[in-house]
Amino acid sequence: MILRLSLFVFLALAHANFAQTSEELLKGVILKINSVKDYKADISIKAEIPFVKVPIAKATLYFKQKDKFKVVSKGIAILPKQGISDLTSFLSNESKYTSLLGDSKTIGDIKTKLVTVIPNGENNEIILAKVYIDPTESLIYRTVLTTKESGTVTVDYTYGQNKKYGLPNKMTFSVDVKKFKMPKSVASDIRNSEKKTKDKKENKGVITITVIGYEVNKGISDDTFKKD
Amino acid sequence: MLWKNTRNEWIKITSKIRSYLGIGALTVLVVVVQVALKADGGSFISYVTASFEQTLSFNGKILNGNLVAFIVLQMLIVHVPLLIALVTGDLLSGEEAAGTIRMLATKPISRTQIVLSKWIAAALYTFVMTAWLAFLSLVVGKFIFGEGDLIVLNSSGLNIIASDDLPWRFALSMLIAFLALLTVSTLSLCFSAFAKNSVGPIVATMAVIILFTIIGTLDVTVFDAIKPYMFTTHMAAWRSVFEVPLPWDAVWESIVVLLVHIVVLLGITILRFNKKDITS
Amino acid sequence: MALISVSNLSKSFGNFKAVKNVSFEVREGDVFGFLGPNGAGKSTTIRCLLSLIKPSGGEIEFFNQNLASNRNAVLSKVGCIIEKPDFYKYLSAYKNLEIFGRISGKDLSKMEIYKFLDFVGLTGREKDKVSGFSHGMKQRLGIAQTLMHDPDIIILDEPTTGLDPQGIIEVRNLILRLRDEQNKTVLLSSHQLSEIEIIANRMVIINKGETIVEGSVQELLEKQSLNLQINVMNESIFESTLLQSFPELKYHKVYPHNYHVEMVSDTSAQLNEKLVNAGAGVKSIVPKRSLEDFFIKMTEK
Repeated sequence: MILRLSLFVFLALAHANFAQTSEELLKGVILKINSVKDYKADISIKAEIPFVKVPIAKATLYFKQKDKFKVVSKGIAILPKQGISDLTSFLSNESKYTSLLGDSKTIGDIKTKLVTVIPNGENNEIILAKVYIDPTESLIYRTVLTTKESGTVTVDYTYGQNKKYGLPNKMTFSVDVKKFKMPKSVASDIRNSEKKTKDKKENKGVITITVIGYEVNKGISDDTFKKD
Repeated sequence: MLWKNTRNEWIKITSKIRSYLGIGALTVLVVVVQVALKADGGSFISYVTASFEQTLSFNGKILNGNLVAFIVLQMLIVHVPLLIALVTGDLLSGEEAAGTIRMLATKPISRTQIVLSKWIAAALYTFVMTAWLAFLSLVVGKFIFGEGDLIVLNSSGLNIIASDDLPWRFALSMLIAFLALLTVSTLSLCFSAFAKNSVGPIVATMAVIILFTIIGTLDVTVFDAIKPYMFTTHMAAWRSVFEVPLPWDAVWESIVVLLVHIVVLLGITILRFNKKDITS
Repeated sequence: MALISVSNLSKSFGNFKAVKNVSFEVREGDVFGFLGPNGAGKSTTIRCLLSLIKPSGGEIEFFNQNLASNRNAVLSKVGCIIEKPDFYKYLSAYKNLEIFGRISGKDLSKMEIYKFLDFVGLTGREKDKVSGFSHGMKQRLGIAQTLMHDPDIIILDEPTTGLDPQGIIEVRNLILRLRDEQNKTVLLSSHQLSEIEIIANRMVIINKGETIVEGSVQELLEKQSLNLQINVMNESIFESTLLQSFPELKYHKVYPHNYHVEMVSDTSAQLNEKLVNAGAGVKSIVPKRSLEDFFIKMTEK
């Protein structure tokens, strides 16, 4: 009897989990997002972009609800234009999109559910977002954003001790570089001509942001986000 | 006697107004570029990063003293040789025109020593111009625009070089730029040995630089064989110092080509001046 | 002792032979006149002596040393002015002397340079730029430049060109002082034959690139015939007396009542007596053995 009861409860719970709707999955994520009023993250940025050579850069990310975001770097840091903060602020506003539940996909060791998010209006920069969510912990492990200007950006997330806030300790951005045209030199390079510039057809650029440390909900002044 | 006459030649160079005109013109040019970048450097940056800005964002202080110094050096690669030739092209032919070559050549100093002392003085002037250019672009530039990483557009793509990796690169690039400018001053001195007036060597030097530069940029197979040996091909070698990784082979090749030009041109000058009958 | 020895010197500029065969010697203590008409090859020869021009052939020796192989050692003992002295116009008189002094083989102190400027009468003009100097002042500065390293030989090519009579006298006196007081040897090229006649003790005349005659000025002049400049009141009596009594004498009228008479031997006393007795009215008889005449005679050949 007890065994049957346990089995029934287990199946009910299991069914309840895997029966979550796309909205419920996203809500779980948003709840976690909203638990973070602000954060400051020290990051290192490694960019591997075709025809771009850049050393590993150190920077500091600042975030404050609802959509204040700033990157401060001592040197020059190359970051993806899309995918760092715009998705979370987009997802926070549920009225602006429609979501659809998709298939399961295992990313690393994590079993995730695909939620496809389609913006309601036509004026959004994001055309389509595919979000792979771990339903048990309400964590995003991958997003594939299709944007008007930047093409497709795929972001993989890895989590550590700040999992409870939904804050990853590593983000790997895969950037579409199809639209790149390698520019000619600003001033004519007299020695040139052996290294001819080419249009690369199928190329991806990868930017890896590793978080060295977070300070979450410690309070950040609005002045921090003022433009220099 | 060589060093005594080198001192004499330096006194002559520093006593002529045109020597200071060159330095003054250089100062004005650099200041104009710096003012322009201070006023509208953003447009320039956008031009450099335009191709990448659809997908990437560049954070940090892009318009900084290091970038401004790089831009200044780029822009002046044609102008500075002219300012150098204005002084060095006059060293032998100017004395012939003024008649002082008669007095000089009857002194107990060999013709070879006369040429060498003039060349050393010309090299010193070239060094002063290069150092002044470095000071204006780097020191003054950093004072106005601050420190930061350097973003460089080369034929191989976009390079970003960390600021602490730059001092030795700038030092090496200025050394190579000095070598390139020394080639120009040696060329003008060589022309000066064949002329009897000041203007000819200056015009001839600039004509050669312009002609060789044009040949170097033409995509014609006929010229491919000679391009690696033209000194103008290597005059921009200083830019290679800002490539990652630094193409040491190409840099050494440029240094050797420029040195060979200097030695050969100096040799021709000495030979010509030794054989010359001074009838003026 | 010969301080300068030139043997069979030649110089060609392309097909043109400016100097064909010039030889002469300058001895210690000489004021040596170097003469020749325009285009004779004087400047070319002097420039060869100073290694401004490379000879095509022949030998030049200074102090018994070959010039070509001992150039610097030789030139450290030679001072020269060639045509007009040219200086760095943008530098002061002092700075010009300092620059040339520095490479003349003798280090000069500031006081010594000032001393030379004073010697040539340029005191007070030390700091003035040469661009503001007159021709005479530049000539004087040139002399200072020539002397300041205490040379044994001084070569002057047309040093009095452009100078006023006072300046010419000053240069003449200076040369004499250099010879008499400082035992300098001077090689002097000049068109002022009267000056050469006064100050030179030896000379050479070249023409068309070749040596015509060389020797002591006095001996050369004594060898030539005595000429008389005669001024008479009655031209017809003069001419008829010469025709009758001295048919061998050549003469020509220089201007009315004034005659130039060439004499082979000195019969001036007899001529005078005849003319006076004939009533020619002799106003003056001036004997002339001039360098000018000698020069013209030599270079006309």
